[in-house]
Amino acid sequence: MLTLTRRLLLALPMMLAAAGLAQAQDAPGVTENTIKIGILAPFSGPNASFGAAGYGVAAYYQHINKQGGVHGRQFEVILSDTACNEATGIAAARRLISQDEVFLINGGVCSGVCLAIRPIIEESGVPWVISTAANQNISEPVADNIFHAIQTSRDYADAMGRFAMSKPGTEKIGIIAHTNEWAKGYQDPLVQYLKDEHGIEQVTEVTMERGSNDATAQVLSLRQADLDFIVVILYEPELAVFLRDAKLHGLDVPKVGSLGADFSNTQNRLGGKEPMQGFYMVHQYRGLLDSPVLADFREAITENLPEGQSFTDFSFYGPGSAVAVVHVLEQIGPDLTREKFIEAMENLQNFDTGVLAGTMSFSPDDHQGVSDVNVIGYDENGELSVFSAWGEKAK
Amino acid sequence: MLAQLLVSGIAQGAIYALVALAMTVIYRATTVVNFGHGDLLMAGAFSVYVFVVLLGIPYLVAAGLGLLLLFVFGYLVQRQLIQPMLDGPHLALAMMAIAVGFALRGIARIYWGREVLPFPRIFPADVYVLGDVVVTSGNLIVTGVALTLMLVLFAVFYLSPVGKLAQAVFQSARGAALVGINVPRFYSIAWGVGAAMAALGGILIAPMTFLYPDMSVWILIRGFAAMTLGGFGSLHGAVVGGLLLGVMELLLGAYVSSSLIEITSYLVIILVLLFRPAGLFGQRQVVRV
Repeated sequence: MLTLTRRLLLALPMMLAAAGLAQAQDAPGVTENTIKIGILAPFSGPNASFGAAGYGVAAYYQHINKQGGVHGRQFEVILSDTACNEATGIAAARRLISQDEVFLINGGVCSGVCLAIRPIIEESGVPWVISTAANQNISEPVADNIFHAIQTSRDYADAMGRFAMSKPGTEKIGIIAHTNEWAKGYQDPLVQYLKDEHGIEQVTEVTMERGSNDATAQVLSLRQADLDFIVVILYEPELAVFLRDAKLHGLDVPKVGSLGADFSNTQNRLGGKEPMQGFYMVHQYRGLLDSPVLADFREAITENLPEGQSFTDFSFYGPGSAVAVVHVLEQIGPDLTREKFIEAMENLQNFDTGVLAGTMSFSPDDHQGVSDVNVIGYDENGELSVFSAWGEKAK
Repeated sequence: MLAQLLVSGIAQGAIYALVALAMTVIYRATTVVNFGHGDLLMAGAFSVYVFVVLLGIPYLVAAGLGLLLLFVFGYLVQRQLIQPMLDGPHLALAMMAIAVGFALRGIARIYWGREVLPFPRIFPADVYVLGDVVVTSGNLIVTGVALTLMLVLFAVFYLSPVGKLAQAVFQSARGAALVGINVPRFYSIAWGVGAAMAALGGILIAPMTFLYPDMSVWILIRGFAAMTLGGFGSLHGAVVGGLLLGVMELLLGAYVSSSLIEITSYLVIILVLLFRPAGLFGQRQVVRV
């Protein structure tokens, strides 16, 4: 007959396993076999082309599911549509937190929407790994549960300024930008960078509103200012209009554009690469999207996109964050809680996503994990290339 | 720079003039301002896109089908949705027009919500340089079409029996009915013509602005401002108002602040309604809108 002590000792492993399971089951959005992930992105409305970033994130989780998931758990992905609209975005975030009870949110595409939903997610304690939206104020000041797993507007602003100033002889800079919060997220740090790093106090600034279909006034104003470089902070439809009118009116000053447009989509809209000559765009990846260095990743995303979705460059604008999420979940082990996830994210150091330029590192004081940014554009031979500085191709 | 701004302003204003002209046709015939007009323009452009790109129909045939489709659509909207409400307040008619527009936009978003499509060109994208001034074939054609349409409509409304009929219906629908005019049918045809003109505008404008479901958001307020400036119901007022608005936008944008481009049309509406409610060429009258 077993003594009470022996019985307890024999039962201990089972009790521990049960406790572990109970703990996992207690973590919202986690069961023995699944982890529920919410993806916030605009899947409808005029900016729905950015929704491809959300589909890209979903595709990466599907790719991991096919490989067996993480610690035996499959990802259950819930897409929540923000329509790139603050009110819709708030409702979408609340639904993921309260109704769907996801374990974490991986997404966030339009900065204005993300700024609006930040207080809600911060208060909820649900981990939020930002996939695409770049405004640095989404993750600054630091909130315990919010991580920027992509370069921020400040990084892009610095990169645009650095690239422009790396062209020999650049002294006069012009900026054409929207007047919304998204554009300010790039414009303010850029002006600050030019002032702090290069002593440029005077910058020619013109605005172009959303929905504009003509940029003649802006182009002529910039042309008259006799600039050396122009920084373009516009969404894709207006960027195409601006580049079209810039070519029409002979504004052949080099230009570098922010995130917010897709290089190849813009080229398609303009009907060829001629209007794209002399135009560069920040690029958060280590190579061209169709280059061998990203081929495996591209294939994984393409093969796992939700039904009815096709691959675009925007499909890449998010999955890098999902790579980090999966890595951290693997590191934590089977006993998963939100607290453990947040702690593991804060301890992530020099993590190579295999996709993004540079590596990803967080700390308790810094939740903005990636800072390296390249620039994409045509070289002197008309070949699309990735640059680290004017005339210097990224290695 | 001034010459370029004037030329580009006129070209831009021609787009607004096209929109204002079509809205004026419906207004002159039915006293209703069609606040859903921008979405009819979008629907016309998308219908031609479907015919040309998805169904492979030759462009000119597709354009004709697009005009016909929108004519029928406008006719049916008036017949089925507007006509039953004609005895109600004009506000309800305006709301119905807006609702129809939003419904069209919603349908377009279902299929093309994520797309901003390059629209096939009906005319070559040539560029002409005269000294320091650059003008495109698109600019010339849109301006030419706007002026031609104005002349045609002028002839129809002022020199033909149809114009007298329109004038009679505009002044008193009941009186026109008493002398044997089929007023409901006339209203339906006017809506059909207005919708077909919207389609024509869409076909001409979309190659320059790209094609997307929300392409009409910016255009309706400009068309309305052009109508207000030129005077409600005035055909030449719609054209002059549109051209002036285009020029004002560019001059203010270039010489004062580019931020003013977006609000020029609102400023025009406010100032005209405050200081000259009848606009440049309109007649003072009581309008139920």
